[in-house]
Amino acid sequence: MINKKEKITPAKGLLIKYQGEFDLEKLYKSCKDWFNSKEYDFTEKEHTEKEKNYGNELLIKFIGEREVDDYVKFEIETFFFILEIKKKGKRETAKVKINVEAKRILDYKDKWQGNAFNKFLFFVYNNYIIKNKIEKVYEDKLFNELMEYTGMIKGVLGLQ
Amino acid sequence: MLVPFVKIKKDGIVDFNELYRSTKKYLEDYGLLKDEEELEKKFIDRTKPGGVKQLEIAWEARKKISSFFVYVIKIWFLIIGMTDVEVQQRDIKRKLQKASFEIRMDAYIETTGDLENIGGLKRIYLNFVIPKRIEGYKADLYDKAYKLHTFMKEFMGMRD
Repeated sequence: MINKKEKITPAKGLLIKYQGEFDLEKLYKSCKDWFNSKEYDFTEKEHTEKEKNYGNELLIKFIGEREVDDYVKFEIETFFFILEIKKKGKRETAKVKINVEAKRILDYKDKWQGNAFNKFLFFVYNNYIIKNKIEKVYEDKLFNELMEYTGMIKGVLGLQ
Repeated sequence: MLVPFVKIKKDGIVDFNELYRSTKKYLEDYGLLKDEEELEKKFIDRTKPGGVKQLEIAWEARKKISSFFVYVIKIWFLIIGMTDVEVQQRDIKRKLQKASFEIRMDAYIETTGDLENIGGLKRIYLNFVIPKRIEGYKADLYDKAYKLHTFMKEFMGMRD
């Protein structure tokens, strides 16, 4: 069944783990630039920094949102959890955990959510009329973009 | 909600007095601060045993951009466990604040009562004009809110 909101990643998202030397500024900027280049609206939801004795701790959560058309929206959420950050020249060493989740949202303007009849039409439209398009066009497109995005992150970390 | 609840958090040392002043100044420079008394909706300063402070501040900055629309930026500061520390910066000893600093912000566009009271031909005309105008306002407020977000992050010595 096609739902209004569907995660196209596993329930816990895609996880990238890395430990070692890397350029944190470049990683952050590359992610921001990637969203801009794909015309996603970029929102940094949370930015937490903690100064610790064994190296700083950083938590960044950001969301990229793109209105594909009047009906479909893509959302890619990224959590950076970086521990034991120590400066090493212009670069840093740290333990990095990145979690990425991607969602496909239908009727994001909530035009078909008003009453039971509209909801029924919404159900019929998604599950019988454009089901194929949702699965083969929209979700595939989001999945490909997600792969490109995670590939870019891995590239910056030197994992590819 | 255009910029929904973005959060900046830092556990460490910040020149909070200067941050407070500079953010106010920033809002003033962007025309978002007309009257200081109207800006501050809440200011709670609690001093705990041992001179440790807890601050709760709520701001609401508003800017009327036309007869029908107002920009609203809300900022909440929550500072826990604040103590003064002396830090040597080059040749100067400065008094800064050590605490857990949390800043939340959101931004949106509000309609004034004038818009609701319009009828007839003017209403029809506005229905054509307004959606396009709102898109422009949204982009402008998004830009303003994110510049402020970046300004506060940079001031707190956080990455961008």
